[in-house]
Amino acid sequence: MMAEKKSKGEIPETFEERIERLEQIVAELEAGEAPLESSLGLFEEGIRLARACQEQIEAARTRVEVLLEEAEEGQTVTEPLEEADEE
Amino acid sequence: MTGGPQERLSFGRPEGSGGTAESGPVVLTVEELNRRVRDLLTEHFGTVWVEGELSGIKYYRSGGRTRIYGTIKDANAEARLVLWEESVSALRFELEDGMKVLALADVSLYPQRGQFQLVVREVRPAGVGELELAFQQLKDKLAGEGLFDEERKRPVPLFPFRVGVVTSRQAAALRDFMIISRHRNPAVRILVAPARVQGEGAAEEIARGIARLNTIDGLDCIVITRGGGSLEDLWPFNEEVVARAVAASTLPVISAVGHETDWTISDMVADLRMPTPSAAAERVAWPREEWAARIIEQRDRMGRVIRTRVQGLMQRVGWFTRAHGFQTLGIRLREATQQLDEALRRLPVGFRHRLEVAGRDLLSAGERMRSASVSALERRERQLTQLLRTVNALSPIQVLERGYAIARRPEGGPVVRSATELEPGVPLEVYLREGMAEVRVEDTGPGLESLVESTGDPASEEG
Repeated sequence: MMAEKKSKGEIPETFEERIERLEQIVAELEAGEAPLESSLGLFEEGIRLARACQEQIEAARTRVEVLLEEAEEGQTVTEPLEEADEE
Repeated sequence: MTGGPQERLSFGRPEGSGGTAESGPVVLTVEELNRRVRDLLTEHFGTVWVEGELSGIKYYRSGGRTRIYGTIKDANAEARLVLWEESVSALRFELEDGMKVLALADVSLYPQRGQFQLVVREVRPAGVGELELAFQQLKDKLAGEGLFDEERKRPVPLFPFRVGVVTSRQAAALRDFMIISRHRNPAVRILVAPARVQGEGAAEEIARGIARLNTIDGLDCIVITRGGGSLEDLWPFNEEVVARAVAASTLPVISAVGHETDWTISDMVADLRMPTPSAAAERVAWPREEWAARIIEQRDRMGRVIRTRVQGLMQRVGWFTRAHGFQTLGIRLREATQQLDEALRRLPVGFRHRLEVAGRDLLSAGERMRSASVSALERRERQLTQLLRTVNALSPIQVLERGYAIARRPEGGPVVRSATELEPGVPLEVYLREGMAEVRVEDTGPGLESLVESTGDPASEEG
């Protein structure tokens, strides 16, 4: 997916993993056991995660496509489904 | 008596194979006889329904063709039966010994053996519906193979972004999907693999749709679905070819067929069964706004924690700097805190704003915010790291080492910096290099200002 190619190495790929890591960071910060310096590191990572999630969520607009019969073997062709089909 | 048989024998010997009608019984070849009996049976009985119980059922497979041989019987009689290729492929269920059936059959004869037999065209289960029986048989068979086992079920992603849907382009199920996903989560993209969902050949199209979607990159899961209908309408989802395709799918499959009360074989093989097409749409079009709000909440909580942490640090540092008049350092620290505080405060607001203007150009706003916040943050982090080093260097222990003492109000009260704050009888805690003393003020007076002046700037001494 597009959003994932942009992400930096340390940010997990899927939305699910990102959310999970973000919540883990918040819990860690709130536990207050990490030293200040690593807390700031966590905070920065958390901000990057939140931003990445946000971009992932907002990147796309609903698209409905239809898989067409392959023109040739192994080819995949799609077309957008017309609004008219939706009513 | 003695000549009888011979007489009859000679009597019956024909001149030709056709025989003479008046002269007695004709002589036939066995083959001809069997053929005539067969024709007689076929003409006389035609096609009949026979009711009975199956036994000795055997499937013979050769060269891609299947025939079935066996016996149909009741308490006192039995008859051989055979099903040819066309009849076997039309069967929706498997024939089994002991099964009570109604068989539509041509009464015939197997000439090579001279054996009377039924050529069965169609078999219906007696007492139970044909579809129910087929359903039960396939269910038992697949269950025996472990296809319904919980361990086989793969988790369907909680946050799919691209979903393949196998259904008819005309299906109400597809409209539900489009409407629900548009409202709940426009970030979810849908790819439809069109397939007829009822009637002859539908099962093969559904199976093919599942296989095709598995070749598409970036799909998170597959939904196979159709709206409610009769058992006959839903039948394709009870066919083995669909069950096999679901089981073979690399992507997790959600099956949502008919109404809540309808259970199909595909529901049982699928990784997740949803009761209706709408329910499936809601499952895959996860609520985006809720999660957007949750991300903001996490962000705000992080901001609060960091602010509190930094303020706590500043208080600790402030306690010390005030006590010893390290004014310059104190101001630097306070400025740094303030800047950090502002940077932190800006972040959640920026995000909230982003959401409100969803639909406009969010990326550039995001970029601005990112460069502002991250560079500010990195600067603050460097400063705080430096501060921490300084604070360690100036730790009270090191100062006390040089012979200073710190006087504070009891139980963690403020540090006393001026004798004018005191009067006789006030209790104080005096901290020394080793341990502390609880004391009471006897009297107050002017101090040794020169001693404080002479210490200069300890920070530069430490550096």
